[in-house]
Amino acid sequence: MRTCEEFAHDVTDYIDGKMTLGPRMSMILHATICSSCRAYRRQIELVRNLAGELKTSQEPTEETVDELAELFTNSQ
Amino acid sequence: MSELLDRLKAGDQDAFKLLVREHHSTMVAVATSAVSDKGAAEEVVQETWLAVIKGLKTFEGRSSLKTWIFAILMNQAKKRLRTDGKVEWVGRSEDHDERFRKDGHWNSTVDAWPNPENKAAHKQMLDLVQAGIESLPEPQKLVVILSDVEGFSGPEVSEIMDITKENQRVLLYRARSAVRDYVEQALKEAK
Repeated sequence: MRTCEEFAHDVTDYIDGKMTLGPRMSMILHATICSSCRAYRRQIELVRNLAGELKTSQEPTEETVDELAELFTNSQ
Repeated sequence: MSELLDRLKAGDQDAFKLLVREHHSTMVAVATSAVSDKGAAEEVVQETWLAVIKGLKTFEGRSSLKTWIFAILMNQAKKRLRTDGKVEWVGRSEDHDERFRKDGHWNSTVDAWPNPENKAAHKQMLDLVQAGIESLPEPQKLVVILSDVEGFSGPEVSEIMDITKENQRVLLYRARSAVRDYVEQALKEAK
C-alpha cells in the first residue's frame, strides 16, 4: 500500500495525467481511505489551476514591436 | 519546417512582428522571475531577441521555435546572473520531508480549504498563490511559472532550463507543494 508521503510526492504526476494505470489505481485507492491525502490533492490541484490564471495576456506596445522588427530587417 | 519559420528565414518583417507579439510579454515575465529585476529582465529580453535574429538563419527546427527562443532567454538570464555575481540557480538534492512521520504518514492531518465561492474569495486565493510563487527560490519559481503559468510541457521546461526531466519533475513538485504550504499558512493566520 502506498504511504501518504509517496502519495504526496507523486500527486503532481497524478493530477497532470502522467501516471500509468497501475500507479494511478494505487493513488485512487489510497485517496479513498485517506482524507488528508484527498484534501492535499485538491489543494495542489487548486494551486496549479490558479497559477494558470496568472498568465499575462498583455501584448507588447506597437513601439516595441516596431523597434524589434526594424532590428530584424536591418540584420537581413 | 513551419510556414512561419520559412517566412522568418526569408526575412519577412510581418512574420517577425507576429513572433514578437506572441512571445515578448511572456519573455519579460519569465526573465523577471529569472533575474528578479525588471530593468535587468528587459535587457535579457533585448539580448535574447538579438540572439534570435542572429540565429534564425541557422535554426534547424529540432525543437519548436518557441522552445528554442525560451532556451536562449534562459541562457541570457544565466549569463546575466553570472555578470551580476549572483548565485546561479540549480536544483538541490532531496531533503527529508518533515511533514511526514518515519512510517510515511502525515505528521498532522491535512484539513480541506474553504471553497472560494465568490469573486472576492477567488481573488484572495489567486493573490495568495501569486505571492506564494514570488516567495519561491529561483529554480522552483521558474519551473512553476513555465509549467503552470505559461503552460509549457514538462519536456519543454527541461529543454528550456537545461535540466533533466527528473529534476524538472522534482522542482515542479516542490514548487507546487511550497506554494500550497504558503497558502495554508496565510489562511491559518487569517483565521
